[in-house]
Amino acid sequence: MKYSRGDLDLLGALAALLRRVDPVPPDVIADAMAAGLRLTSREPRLASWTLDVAWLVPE
Amino acid sequence: MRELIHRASRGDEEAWHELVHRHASVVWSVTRAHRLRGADAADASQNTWAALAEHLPRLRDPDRVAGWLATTARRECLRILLQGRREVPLEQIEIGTYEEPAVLRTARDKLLWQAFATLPARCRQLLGLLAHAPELTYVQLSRALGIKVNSLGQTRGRCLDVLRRRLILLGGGPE
Repeated sequence: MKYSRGDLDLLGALAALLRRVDPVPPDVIADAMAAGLRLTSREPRLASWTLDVAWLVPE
Repeated sequence: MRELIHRASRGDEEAWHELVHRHASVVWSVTRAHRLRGADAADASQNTWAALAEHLPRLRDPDRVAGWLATTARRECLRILLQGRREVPLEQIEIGTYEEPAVLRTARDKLLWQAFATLPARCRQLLGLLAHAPELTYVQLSRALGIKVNSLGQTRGRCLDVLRRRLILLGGGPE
């Protein structure tokens, strides 16, 4: 996908604005970090883990 | 990016934090595009990151992780919406109210927000995601937002043009 310099400047300004107007909540960031570390470090999972990863992940 | 993914998949905390910081806005913007809010948006986001952690060692193209996250986030959003058979009334969407947020500090910010807020919903969804991940391909965008890939180029160009024109009309032309 190609962009002009003006397009990229506009999208950059929009990204900065959206990060302030609708930021990812800190607890969502913290949960993402905790979940990822738990799984990548191969800690035992909770028995209630029901996420259907096979269905979720793109091909 | 390949090195970052490799380190994260081996449980490197710093690498995983870097991944989350780089792409959290992409996942979040997809949840917003699907009108999820509150706990649903948080669940969709967390499940997407958990799915990435699961899938990291098998990620076929680490350079396209933003697209992978966007597509996975959409599927998770759809799953949550289908599970609850929820339809969120437009007026309940936090960002959908488009009242002028208090965080707008400069006149330029206010003009850009006004111009963005009056775009059609499809343009807000598309530009809201592209702003955080302009590197996404048409196919990835199509999968993330459920827009036909054939129309994406035209839609993207039109949305950017409309945003630019509205900015100019409001008195906030190019700097």
